[in-house]
Amino acid sequence: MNIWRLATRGLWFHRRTHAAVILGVAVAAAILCGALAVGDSVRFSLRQMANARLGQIELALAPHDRLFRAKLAGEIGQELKAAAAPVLLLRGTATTDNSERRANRVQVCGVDNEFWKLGDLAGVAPSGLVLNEQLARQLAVKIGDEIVLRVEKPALLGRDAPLSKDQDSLAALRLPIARILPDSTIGRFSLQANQVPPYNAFVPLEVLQNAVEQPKRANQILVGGRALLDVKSAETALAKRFQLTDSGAYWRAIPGQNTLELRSARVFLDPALASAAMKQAEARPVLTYFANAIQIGTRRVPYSMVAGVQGAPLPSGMAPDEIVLNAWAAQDLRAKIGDSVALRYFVMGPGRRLEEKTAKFRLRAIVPISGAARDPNLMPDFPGMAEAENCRDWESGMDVDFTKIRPQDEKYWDAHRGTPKAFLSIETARKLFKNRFGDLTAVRYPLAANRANLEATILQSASPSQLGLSFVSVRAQAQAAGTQGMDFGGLFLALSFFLIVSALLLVALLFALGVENRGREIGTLLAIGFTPQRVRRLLLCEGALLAALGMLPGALLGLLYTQIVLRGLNSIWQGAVGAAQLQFHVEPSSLVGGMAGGAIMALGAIFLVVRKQVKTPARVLLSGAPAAPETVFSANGAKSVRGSGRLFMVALAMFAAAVLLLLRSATLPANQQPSLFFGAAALLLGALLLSCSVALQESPKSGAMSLLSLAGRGLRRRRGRSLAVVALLACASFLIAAIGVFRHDPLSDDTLRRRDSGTGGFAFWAESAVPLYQDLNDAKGREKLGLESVTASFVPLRVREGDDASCLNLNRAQTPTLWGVNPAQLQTRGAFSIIKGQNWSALSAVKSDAIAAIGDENTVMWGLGKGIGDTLDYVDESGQPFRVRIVGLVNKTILQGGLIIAEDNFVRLFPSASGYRAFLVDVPASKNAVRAGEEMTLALQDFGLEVVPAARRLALFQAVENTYLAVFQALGALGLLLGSIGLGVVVLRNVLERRGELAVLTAVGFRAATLRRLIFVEHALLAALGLGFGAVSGALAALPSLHSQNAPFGTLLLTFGGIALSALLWTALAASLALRGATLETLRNE
Amino acid sequence: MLEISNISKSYDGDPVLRDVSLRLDAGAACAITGPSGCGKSTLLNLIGALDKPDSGTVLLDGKDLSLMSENDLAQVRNQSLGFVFQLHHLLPQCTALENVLLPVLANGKVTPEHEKRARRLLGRVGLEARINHFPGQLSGGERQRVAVVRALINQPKLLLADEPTGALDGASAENLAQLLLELNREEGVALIVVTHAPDLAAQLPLRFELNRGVLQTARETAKSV
Repeated sequence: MNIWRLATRGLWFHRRTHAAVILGVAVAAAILCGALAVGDSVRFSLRQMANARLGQIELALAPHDRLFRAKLAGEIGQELKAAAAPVLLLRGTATTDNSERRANRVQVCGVDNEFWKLGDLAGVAPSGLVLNEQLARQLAVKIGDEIVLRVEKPALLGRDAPLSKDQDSLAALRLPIARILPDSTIGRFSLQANQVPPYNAFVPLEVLQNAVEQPKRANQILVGGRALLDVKSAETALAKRFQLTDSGAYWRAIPGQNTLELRSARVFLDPALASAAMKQAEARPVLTYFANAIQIGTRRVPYSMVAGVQGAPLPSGMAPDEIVLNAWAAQDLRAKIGDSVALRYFVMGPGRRLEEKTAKFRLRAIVPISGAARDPNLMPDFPGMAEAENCRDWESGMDVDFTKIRPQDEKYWDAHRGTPKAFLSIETARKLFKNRFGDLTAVRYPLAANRANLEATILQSASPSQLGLSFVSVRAQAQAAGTQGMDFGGLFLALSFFLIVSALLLVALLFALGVENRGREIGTLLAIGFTPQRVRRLLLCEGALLAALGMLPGALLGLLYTQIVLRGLNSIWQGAVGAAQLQFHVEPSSLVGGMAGGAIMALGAIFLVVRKQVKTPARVLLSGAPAAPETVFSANGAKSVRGSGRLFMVALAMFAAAVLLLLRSATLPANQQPSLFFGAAALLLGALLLSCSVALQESPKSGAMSLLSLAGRGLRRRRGRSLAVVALLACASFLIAAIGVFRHDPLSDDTLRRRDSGTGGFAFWAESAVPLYQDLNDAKGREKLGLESVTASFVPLRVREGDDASCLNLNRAQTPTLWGVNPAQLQTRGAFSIIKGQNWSALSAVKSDAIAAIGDENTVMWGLGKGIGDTLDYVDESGQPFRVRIVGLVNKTILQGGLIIAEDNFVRLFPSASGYRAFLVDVPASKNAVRAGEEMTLALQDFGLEVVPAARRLALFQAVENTYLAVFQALGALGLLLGSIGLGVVVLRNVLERRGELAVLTAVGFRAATLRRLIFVEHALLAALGLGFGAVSGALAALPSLHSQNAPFGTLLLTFGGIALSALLWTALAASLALRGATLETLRNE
Repeated sequence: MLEISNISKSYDGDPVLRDVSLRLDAGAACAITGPSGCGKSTLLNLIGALDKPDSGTVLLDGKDLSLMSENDLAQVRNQSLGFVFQLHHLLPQCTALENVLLPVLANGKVTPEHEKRARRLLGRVGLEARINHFPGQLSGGERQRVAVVRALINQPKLLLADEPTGALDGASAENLAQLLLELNREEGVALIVVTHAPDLAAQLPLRFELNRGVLQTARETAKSV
């Protein structure tokens, strides 16, 4: 005989009461297990998706806007003894043959067989055009159909660079579909973690290379196929096999000038490379630039090359303000030594806007076109110029006025090509023409210099990472994104709050009922010398055994709960998981954790009950009297009236405050009304509950006796318990009904034209597959793009592609997308209200330690797990790490998913990321916004411009939150339904305590049916009060959403009806059970 | 052994016991009779450390019960006192033997010696064949005998019986009365029986009567009052 044996005995003897407790424990454990398993399933599904999108890929070299030899991949593979695939990945659009269907933002991947090996498709390596399921579905195409892919031709020279061409930036491919890959395979290839597969089109590498005129070039290397591949060894292999040509630089021998020259197909030498090249012996820098005019007074030579050099043909001791002209220019300008010479030239301003600058010089010397001054090689490979036969054939990105070109200029071009007409000291040239792409166009050495040695030493000091070529472990990033992503386990635990509380409440009520039934038993134990602690221990032992017994069925129920939730998330609640298809998966640790958690919480609830129970003295328990003091009714009720008078005044005050809030809300815009309505509704609920408390305190007035008045008196007997039941039901039902207030329906919100709203007052958010280089706010830019008829103004954003950090991505974004914007454009518009931190102008502030960024609160807090002042680590284009500090937050805006930094900082860090790929579009209120959107889409369809109404984009983000609220409502209603069973238990407890009284009623002739009715009416009144109060105040809170089409009033009505029905059913059942035959026996005992 | 001096007790302002005094030596036996509501059970609860007096003292072996902590009182109930209730209050989920051993469990572990004593006592009251029966399988008299044995398991100095025969038929009541007296003699345990059954009271050497909260000697002059 020991305490456990005694507990086991108790357990078995009271098995019927205990079975219900076990069920309660099982429900609690089931919800915990289920919620954790939902988390497991989401993580597992994300892992599966990551495995599918990466195949065997471990590392990736994916610089932005860099091209290198495709062969480099094979060489690195050899070094690492791993599979390595070159990829030419370009953004583009896809349209069906008849242009009826299209997909924007398509990843067009030029791949070879190595890629398919990494994707585990080596045996069935597809040739020809391969689409993934996502793209095929969007285009509604099948194998054999032809589609048209349009991609941007990658430019070696950044499109934002001076003299870069902005025309002819697209290439089109028409190809038949050879195969469609399911999204569960490498078909969903992407280096970004997102549960939504991208649109992928895989083209044979060579086909794509030829189409974009970049033969044998690639812009990504994927390495994998074996374990234990680390970034360091990959970087070592890269450094070993890296050649100058992989940076775009190349050698040119110029025997006529006894010169060996290092120049770049990117026009400007990369600063790291230039600096390394300049460290070599006898290095001479060159910077040749395009001048709009060389001018003396009104005489001018148009469009000429000007070279900054060191040494010949400059005379020694050139001052910074001195210039040298060649004889041709001097003659044309009728120049003489000492003349003031003006140089006009373009620099690239923000938005690819050309700004003409003028610099003035004193003419120092005039040199004949011979020797060092006769060197057409000084002109770099300006695209569209270098190969032009005539000046009029120039296809430069500069705004060239061909009418200014005279016959003698054509003759000069014919005779001397790009031979500079003017020379400056290299220092002056660098000062004037330096731009974010570099400040040298060539570095020259004596012809006799050893090219191989030079290349080796230059590459020793300019590592590939300094040129923006670094490997990253995409596998590690994917794992981190999946494991640190949204914790659905925690989320569902929170959403199941009411269910858990209801289950625990039920456990507590049922256990209390059991213990109350055993009052004499406990009294006996106390009387024979058990201390209260020991009795508590005994009961807790029983509770522990019950909890343990409830765990296993709980786990099984939990698995069922997971399946149901997953089914919901894959269908009606898909908004919460951004279109992901989740697979069922459960970790043993979650089951164990859920079971243990459920059991511990249930035991906690039991402990609270036990503590209260054993406080009753043994003599009271032995006498069989009710355990707790009941309300003492007094004839005059004077004392209670004074107390209740005060309460009544408070209730009246709360009611008045609610009315005031409602009146105030009438003067506010519609978007601010819901919070006031919610406040008013909460006050109303408080007032109703206080009034109920007052009514329960009032001593019953003597008068005509009826069943109803008898029921009312019954409610007053256990005032605390009655009020608790009403308050619990009221609060829970209020929350469930009122939570709908927080649902937002941007599509029917007419305040979204306001600048401080979530849309920033913009009509559209537009994103293009291919960057736009033109200034869309400028008439010329619009004309080039065919947007003349569109009345709109644009805030263009530069895009550094990263992870989507919005709530639509289940993965934790590691390096979120950066948007570069001119902060003044948002500041002057007053667009988006900053809710925390600094405003837009803070983005331009120069801080040495970090770049300032502003983000959406949802993105920053939930997507990134950060706050104001926190930083994120990035790597810039030259491989240098930098930090982004969050300085401000906007709330619930269309800017979710990325971080906004100043454009100046953006171009400094990512000089090659040319053009704009995202736009905030303003359409004047007087214009037809829908039409403007359609016109934009049509005009820019080749660029894959997707124009989304700002309200719809906002609605897309809001859908996630709305779905969470819907899940909360559904699970809350389920909890309330479960809680309504508790009402039945309360009936049982009340009847048990009043057995004697009921026995007397029986003895004096009450029929059993009448007693049942009495008990039923009494407790149905409780349910009606609780649900009624909750529903009335909930309805008041939800009033502002009445106009919304999505307001779920029907569902709510059904929910409340179901709960009320369930509460009445359990009440009736409990009343019938409690009264069955027990009353007379009680009377006999009395 | 037991000395009650001038105790009074009221409930909700209504006096139940007034200035009651009583002395009982070790091994003595007495009956307390009186009409319903006269305060018999209240007096027994005070003696049994289940309740505390408003004034006056209850000394058990010279120790004032009103000065003791709840845990000490539980110890006293467990070691020095034995209770027999009108309703046996056996735990329905435990066998006769287990019910008897409960007081041992209240204060520690059950040893084979305890079990031996329990069996012996159960044999003594004629229940050797019913040791492993549950209360539901026993007759009213048998249940009450188990309750008596339970009260004696820890060798108390004082056995308190509250209407022990109240729920028994005539024969069973007689048997139980005999048993209590025999145990009083054999085990040397003092005995206080609260009853309004004159037959039972008549079998006890000392008799007191409680009337409107006042304790008076009945028939014989008690040497201990």
